[in-house]
Amino acid sequence: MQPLILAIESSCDDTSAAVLRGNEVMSNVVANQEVHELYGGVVPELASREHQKHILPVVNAALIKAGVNKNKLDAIAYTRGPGLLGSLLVGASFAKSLALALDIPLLEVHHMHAHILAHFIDDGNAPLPELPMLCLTVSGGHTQLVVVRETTQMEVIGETIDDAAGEAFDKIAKIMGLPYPGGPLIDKHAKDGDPLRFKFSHPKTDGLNFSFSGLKTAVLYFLRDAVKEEPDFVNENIADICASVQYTIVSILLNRLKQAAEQQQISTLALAGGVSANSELRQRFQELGDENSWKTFIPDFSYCTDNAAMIGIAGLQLFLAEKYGELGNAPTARWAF
Amino acid sequence: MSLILSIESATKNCSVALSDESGLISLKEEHSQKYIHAERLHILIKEVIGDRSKDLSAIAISKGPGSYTGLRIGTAASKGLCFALDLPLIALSTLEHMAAQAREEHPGFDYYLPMIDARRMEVYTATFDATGNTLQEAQALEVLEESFNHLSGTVLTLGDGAGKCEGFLQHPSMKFNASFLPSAKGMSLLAHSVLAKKKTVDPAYFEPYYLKEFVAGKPKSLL
Repeated sequence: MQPLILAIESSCDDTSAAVLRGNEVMSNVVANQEVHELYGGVVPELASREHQKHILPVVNAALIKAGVNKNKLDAIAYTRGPGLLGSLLVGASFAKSLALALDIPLLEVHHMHAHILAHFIDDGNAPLPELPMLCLTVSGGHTQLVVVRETTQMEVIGETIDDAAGEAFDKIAKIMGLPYPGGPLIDKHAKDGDPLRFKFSHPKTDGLNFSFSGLKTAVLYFLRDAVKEEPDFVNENIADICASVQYTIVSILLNRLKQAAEQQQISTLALAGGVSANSELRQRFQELGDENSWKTFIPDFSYCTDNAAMIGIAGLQLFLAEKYGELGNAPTARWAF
Repeated sequence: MSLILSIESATKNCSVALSDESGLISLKEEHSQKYIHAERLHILIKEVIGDRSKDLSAIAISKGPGSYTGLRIGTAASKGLCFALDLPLIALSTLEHMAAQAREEHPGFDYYLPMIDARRMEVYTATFDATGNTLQEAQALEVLEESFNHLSGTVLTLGDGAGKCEGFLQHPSMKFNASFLPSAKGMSLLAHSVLAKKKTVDPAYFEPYYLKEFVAGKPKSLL
């Protein structure tokens, strides 16, 4: 019988719980927090308080949906980091109590490993990727190029030296006055815009690294100047601005991915993280793969943003390797990959 | 007999107790200059429960006011225990159980003023009489020299908030006990009567008593 794992994710502003039987997802429940929209970004103290309200109902719902009695569970997986400390503490403290009271192992999952390992969830309708695999992980907190040799052996070969790609999307959206989270709105407006109307230069970074803070500043100055001349500039040109910004970010990401794939001679490529829900990134990633005869893997939308199913599949690798966690380990906001 | 596990995490004292109606069975607590709850709380819980998790009747949590981080860890930990073991939750006021413990350990005062340091000259405090009646509900108080001069009689001020008030408050017959820490021992004195009266709370929807409204800044236009 495959192990039955309950997984908990609370690293940022989504509370999620999932039940997995082996590498199959039986349930994956996510409670989002809308409270942050008012403030134009995630407010850590409020995020922690929302997790506290959601944690028990979300875990309960995941077990009910999976039709699993908690006494049948084999292990509890939780996100130990990286993330917002207050948010992590809620999931960690709840998970530890479950493992202690049910007398089953605790599995400490690295959030960024989990984003990548989401590709190894078996949903029954697509082949699983072969290894080695090169993964571009892009989210609000991270932008990384990772070589996956084994599910337990991964190496970061490039990453952002400042802002993450998702952060760039959200911050630029904020500059334009779009509500939080603005990244998905840029994607929406970009569909009707001309991606080549406004040109923004690409950063000069070493090796396979990324940088997005310069782009954010360039957009800010560009719009400030334009608004001085023409006060309604942003509203009148929103589609073209969004399309041009998105085109630039996606180009920066895919140029580096192509360079890495050639350098590493890896022909299995994957996207992971919240920004992999971006429609232009998905489309151009697919095209890049087709042009070069590379196999490409794009996660299902439900596994792009933060979710506990990915924590469960990462927990499964730890469980199989008997790498159990400890009640005395605290969550950690920064955790080396 | 009802067996209750009490968890106190509202201040830097990480404290866990097991008790029944006749009193304390086991107490484990550790405090340090920084918060150690994330590393130590569950280890203490495990040591205190031993193999008696199936015999528990309820979990008691010190609901605050106190440190947001401390309350966060204790609350999520107690929710997890209640959920896993199908137990009700007892939420006790941190200040009230501090006063209960002080009445037992230091009897003879007319008033008990538990105080939790809330930075600068502010404390979380409430006022109790010698029989445990609440005379002043929990408040976040900016302490003035004459803040408690309306209390005529002997007063025991206790808790880490008492330390910074010693020598500052101008009450004629006030004693200070700044080394007094909120403890799960004090919770054990109150938890059993709360359970007997069935005044438990639903662990799914319980939130700590933060006392102060959290205020975050609204975004400004960048253009």
